[in-house]
Amino acid sequence: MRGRGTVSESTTMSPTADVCVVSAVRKRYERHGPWVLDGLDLRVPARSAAVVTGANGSGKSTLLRIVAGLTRPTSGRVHTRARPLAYAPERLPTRLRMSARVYVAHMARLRGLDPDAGRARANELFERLALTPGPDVAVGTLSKGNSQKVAVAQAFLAPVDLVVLDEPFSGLDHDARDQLWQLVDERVEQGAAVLLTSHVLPDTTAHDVYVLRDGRLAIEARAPAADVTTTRVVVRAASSAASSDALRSLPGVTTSEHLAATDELALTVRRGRVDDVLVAAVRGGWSVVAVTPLDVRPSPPTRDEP
Amino acid sequence: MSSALVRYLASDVARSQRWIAPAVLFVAAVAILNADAGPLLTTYADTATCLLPVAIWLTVVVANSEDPTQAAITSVTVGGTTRLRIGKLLVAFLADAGLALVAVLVPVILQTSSGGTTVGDVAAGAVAHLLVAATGVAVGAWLARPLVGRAGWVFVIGVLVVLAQTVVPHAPPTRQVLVLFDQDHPAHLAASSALIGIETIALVLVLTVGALALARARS
Repeated sequence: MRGRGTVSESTTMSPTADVCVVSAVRKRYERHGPWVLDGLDLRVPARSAAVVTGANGSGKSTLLRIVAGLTRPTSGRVHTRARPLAYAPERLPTRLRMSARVYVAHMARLRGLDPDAGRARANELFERLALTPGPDVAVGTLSKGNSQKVAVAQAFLAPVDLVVLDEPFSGLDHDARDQLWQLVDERVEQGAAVLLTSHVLPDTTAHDVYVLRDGRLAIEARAPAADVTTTRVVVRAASSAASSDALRSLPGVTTSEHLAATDELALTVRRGRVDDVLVAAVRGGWSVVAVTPLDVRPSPPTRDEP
Repeated sequence: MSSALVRYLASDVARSQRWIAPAVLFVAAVAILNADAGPLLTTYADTATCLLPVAIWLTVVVANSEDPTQAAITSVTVGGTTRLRIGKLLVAFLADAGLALVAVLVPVILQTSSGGTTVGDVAAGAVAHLLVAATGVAVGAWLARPLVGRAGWVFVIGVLVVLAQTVVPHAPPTRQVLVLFDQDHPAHLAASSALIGIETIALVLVLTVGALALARARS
């Protein structure tokens, strides 16, 4: 008997709830075949992102398909409090004959966006991800990385409760990776949960990282505690190449302020992104003046009153 | 079912060109059957029978047009695989209804039939074509992925179903339409058509719900 596992949905959702709970899920594709997932548990809370790593064939895609409701578990429970959700597969088919623009516009209309809003959002995403040669080429003829950008773009059209991304970084260049992390951060800040896979350890410490091995998940790294996780970074231009816009658009930078008195730039950076921002700043021609954790506020400077 | 889904699926199928062969074959069959036509109802019986394999073929084309990965995205976007499958069956039925319109209107506009043309005959012909089209969609739902899927089996099972529909006594709707429309001025044309309609709708519902349920369990 197939499909004994249960998948339940519910529409009510409190802001701190787990968007997705996977309990004791087992999955095999043939009756006496090997277990791909073997008693897997996972909770993805709202306002968080979880990264699942693991070797090729370790079952990452199967886990994501089960969470997205595309495959039924052989046994165990999947409770998804997210409707609607978004899903990007590992690779778009080369058979897709529509242009990226037409395809993504259809997906936007299916999500209920009005045509103008859908077009505007699609253009923004194509621009941010630097789709090359452009959105008017058939998706099936794009290079792997650019096809990946289309898969990512359709998953970020409209706000959803849960974003499920299968190997979204594969084939993406450095800039597109940064943009994708920023898109993930934006969704997390809007209260969504993001679940993504990567066959290499991600170059970030901002999110929970799990390893899928022998059909089960093990926690590899825990994201820093929520809420008070920002750091103030003050930098000063050390070369004429230093661009404040480039710094402001880095993933994890939440606010920026130009300090006119000292001609320095003060950034608020999410914890876990500080190393990335510092490296990018130094490479970009800036000199680091100060790094201050904001959850342990320094006492205000005392001033001699006349 | 949302019109956005119908538009997306239709535009995907249109680009694939896989609809062209069955559609052209059907229009050619309508032309041949009207070239030296007898009474209107006899022509309708023949074109409706030709519509059955074409409707099955078109349904498989529409249902399998999306690559499985592409279909995965669409399923999640519309909120479920079953919803997407229903959308595909609807698009296939709309395409078949277009072909049915051609088959019903050609003998009326070109006045190809040997006898007269009455409103009752045309209405009965239209109903018969739509019932056969719906049956083709329901059979196609079983032949498409993920249930049968492989081209060789689809062909063999499709031929057997068409054969059974045309020769098995009282098989709704094709055999019954062939028998009813073969009579010279059948008595109770409307009542008999309604009866065929009820039997066919029951058959189509059972087949379609069964195919959707099994496809869901197979995912």
